Amino acid sequence: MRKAKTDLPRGTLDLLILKALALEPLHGVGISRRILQMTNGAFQVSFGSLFPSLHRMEESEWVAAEWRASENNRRAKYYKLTAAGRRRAAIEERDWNRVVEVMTAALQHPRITTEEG
Amino acid sequence: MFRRVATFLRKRKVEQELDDELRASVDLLAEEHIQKGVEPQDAIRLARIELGGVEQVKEEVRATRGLPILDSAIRDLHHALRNLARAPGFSIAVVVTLSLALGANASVLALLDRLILRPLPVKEPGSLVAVHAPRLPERPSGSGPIVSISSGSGRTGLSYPLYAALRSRVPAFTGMLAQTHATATMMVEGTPVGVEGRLVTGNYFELLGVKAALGRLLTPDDDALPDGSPVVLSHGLWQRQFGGDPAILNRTIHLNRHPMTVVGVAAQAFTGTAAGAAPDFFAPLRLGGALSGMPPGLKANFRFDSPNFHMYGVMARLAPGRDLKQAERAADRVYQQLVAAALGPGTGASQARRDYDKRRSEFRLQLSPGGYASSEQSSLSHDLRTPLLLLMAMVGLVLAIAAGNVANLFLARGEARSREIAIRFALGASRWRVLRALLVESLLLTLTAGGVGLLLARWTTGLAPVLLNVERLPDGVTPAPDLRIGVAVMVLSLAAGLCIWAASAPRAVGRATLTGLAAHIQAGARRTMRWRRVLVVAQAALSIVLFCGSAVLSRSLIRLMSVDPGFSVDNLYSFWLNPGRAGYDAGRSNAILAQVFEVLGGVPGVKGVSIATDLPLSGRGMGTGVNRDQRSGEDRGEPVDTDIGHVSPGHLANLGIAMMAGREFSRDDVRGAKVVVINEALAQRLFGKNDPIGRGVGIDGGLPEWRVVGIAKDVKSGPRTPAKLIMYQPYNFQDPVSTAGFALRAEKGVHLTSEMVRTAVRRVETAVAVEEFAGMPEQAARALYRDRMLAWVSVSFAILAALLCAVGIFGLTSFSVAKRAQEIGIRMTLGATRASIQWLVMREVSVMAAIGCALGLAVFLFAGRVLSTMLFELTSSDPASLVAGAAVLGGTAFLAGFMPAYRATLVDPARTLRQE
Repeated sequence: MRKAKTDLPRGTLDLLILKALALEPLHGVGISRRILQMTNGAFQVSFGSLFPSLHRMEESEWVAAEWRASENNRRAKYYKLTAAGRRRAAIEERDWNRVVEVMTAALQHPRITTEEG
Repeated sequence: MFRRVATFLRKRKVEQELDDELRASVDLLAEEHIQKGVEPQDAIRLARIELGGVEQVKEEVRATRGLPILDSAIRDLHHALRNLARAPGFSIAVVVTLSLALGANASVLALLDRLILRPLPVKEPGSLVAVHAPRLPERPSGSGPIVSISSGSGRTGLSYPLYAALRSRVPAFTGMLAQTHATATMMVEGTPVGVEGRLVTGNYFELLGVKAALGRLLTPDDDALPDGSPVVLSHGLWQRQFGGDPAILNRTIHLNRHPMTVVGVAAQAFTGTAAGAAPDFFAPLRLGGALSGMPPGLKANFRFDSPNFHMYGVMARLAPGRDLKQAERAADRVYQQLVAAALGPGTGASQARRDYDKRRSEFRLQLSPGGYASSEQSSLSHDLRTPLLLLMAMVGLVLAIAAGNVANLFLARGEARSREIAIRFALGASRWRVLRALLVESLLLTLTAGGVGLLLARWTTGLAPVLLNVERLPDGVTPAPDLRIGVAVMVLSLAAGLCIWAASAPRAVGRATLTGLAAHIQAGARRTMRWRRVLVVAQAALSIVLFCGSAVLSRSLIRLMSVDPGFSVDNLYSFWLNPGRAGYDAGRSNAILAQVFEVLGGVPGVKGVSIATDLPLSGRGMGTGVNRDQRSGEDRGEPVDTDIGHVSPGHLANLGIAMMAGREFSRDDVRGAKVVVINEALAQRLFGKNDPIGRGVGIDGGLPEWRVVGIAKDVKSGPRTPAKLIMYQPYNFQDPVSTAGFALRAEKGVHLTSEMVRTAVRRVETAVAVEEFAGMPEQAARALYRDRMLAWVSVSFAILAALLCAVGIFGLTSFSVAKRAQEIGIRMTLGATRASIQWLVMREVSVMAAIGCALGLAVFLFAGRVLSTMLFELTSSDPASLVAGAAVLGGTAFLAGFMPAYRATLVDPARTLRQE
């Protein structure tokens, strides 16, 4: 059922959550579904990681939560980005892009190959 | 951080919200499944699986949120309290076992601390040093040896001139004080009371940084003044004798008849510079003469600053930044200059020089740390140092054995709870989480036990004087724990808790396995059984160390008690009178002594009365040099240091000291007859194999004009001490004596009391105090109080250890029998006899006891050597004691194992087989 575990570099999950919330407020299950969608099914985030992250971000006031009715009229806890969360998302995105650039460049360096002779 | 604290404080609400959120999430997930066409019940189950367990997710969230450490600690504490409350029998057993052991630890630790370890309650105790220096060589004088050189121990007192010279010439010291003991009779409302005090230099209190509780303390000005008799009382005396009345200031009290003005009271915490020797009063050094009990004529000649009185204890404060070794070198340089000056201009060939050169290494000034209770070694802290350290080791062993028992209880309980533990694993608790819960339980119990132990130690404070054989513990010495000891005991409890946890928890918990509950539980039982045996073996090993130790100490005590003291102790009483202290001159003193002698002889029940200046076991006495007379082929020999006892006629018979040859003094000897009786040891020393009767001896370098008329049996002042050399001279109620000892022999069955004696003395004279009235058996017992205490306490600890050990063996064996009920049933069905079943159980016990015994004996043979200084004519590897220790362990193991073994034979084979 799981396609990949979320043993991503630290902070990646936070970035994905922030990104998922950028469009509209979502509840926990909704965030999980959105991430699955965004990553074309590559990441199935476990709830054991998702909820701790969400609660930590709520404490850091990157996201704010409120209870409201879901699409099928169930009460659910919705998370939305705060101003601080948006700034955070921008910073994380920039950092991530830098990591990707650096890593890509490093892996394409001609003198080093990963195969052993 | 603020949000985190807020989350922590709003915990209940946050928990509730989390619960709601996760429930809602499960519902949302379930709905998705239902939409895909799954049956509602299955949908909920699938949703839960997908979420990954509601409790686990909660646990993960809690771990990141709020103040996770504090949060989980509180949860663990709640959990532990609930668990322990559910098993009250277990909790009480653990607390009782440990609190007994911890209480004993607290008492011994408190005594050890107050007598030896504790810093004095003075300013900066770390920079105080005690100064020791041998007396300076004396210049040649008319008689006697050319240079008198003290014994090289370096622990004699200093003379005032030496103190003064060092004080002005050693810059490494910022100050130096001198002090000496003084005993006095204080008159309180017509009743004489014996008090102990210190004569001190004026800078004493200032240097020590002691504050006054009332009025003022002594100052250097008190030394400078030629007259005035200020005295500072100790807080203890002020409370005891004057009820803490502030009106004591400027009142006049009489010490040895000398009027003194009370100028102040010292702070309560200050009990002098030696543990266990709390002074009652402090007075300037220059009053030493006036305060002494000497007759008036002698008093006038007393000079406290005479170079011949080597009696001052000296302490110094190191200058900031100086360490002890540095200061010692600096002070020793000054001291060496003084030694050189005392020897006079060196010709190099003088006798003085040669004597000095021979013993040069003995003439060294030494410093030792002075700021601790034991630094200025009072007799109490000196005597009790080794015994207290031994007791500390014993209570440590008892604690270890008790902890072993408790660890075993925890293991047994872990087994009973293995189901619960397995379920917690299944619910997703981590191994660490379960271990932590057990740690909290163990710490909760041991800390409670520590608290109860401290209370026990406080309640049993009254037992200490009985054990130490003193009427009243000295001010400042008590086994009652205070904050310092309380903290130490709590740390000890904490350590015990950690050890118990480490020895039990990991084995009780095992590893989280996926093989299912049943397998986990069974594996747990196998795993812990072996470890529990190891614990019981360790307990047995530690116990036998205590058994052997107490056996060898008891055997030593029995030997000590059977030593013949050389006189008859039963029905003998003694006390001391010193009329000089009440201000009487020699003539009047002798008259008083003669009258008291007469009156006592008439007291009903008194069979015999005699007077001596040297009574056995009293520790009093005067020494002098004695020479033999000159005979053909012999010179007069070296003078022999001998105790001189003036005794009234019939004294030796009254004490039951046998005459080995010759006769005792008679009433005819008293009128100035120059006759002496010497004891065997002195006879041997002076005359060797020759017959001493009729020979002459000279006293203090004088003519050999004293004729030996008898040889008395040696009297021992204690079983360990070799017999003193004693020479008895007749006491004729004419020579001046300072203090007279009275020996009273009562009729069989008559019990003399101090009140009877006081009444008799008061008929003659009311101002003279009856000192140290005591029965001789009690005094003889007191000489052995250390040995008695060690033997008694070690035996009681050994009994405690035996009980703990028995409980351990009993518990484990019962458990093992219950486990093996089926096996036993099968064996019985197959025809095993009762005896063979019993042997099956006892074999297990025997093996554990035997291994423990072997280990313990090996430990004792090695570690028991610390006992050797306490033993009398025995070594710690005394075979009888080792056998006794092993026998006690064997007996304990047998008794503890017998019940379970007997119960094993009652197993009903039919029933156990049916259970299969």
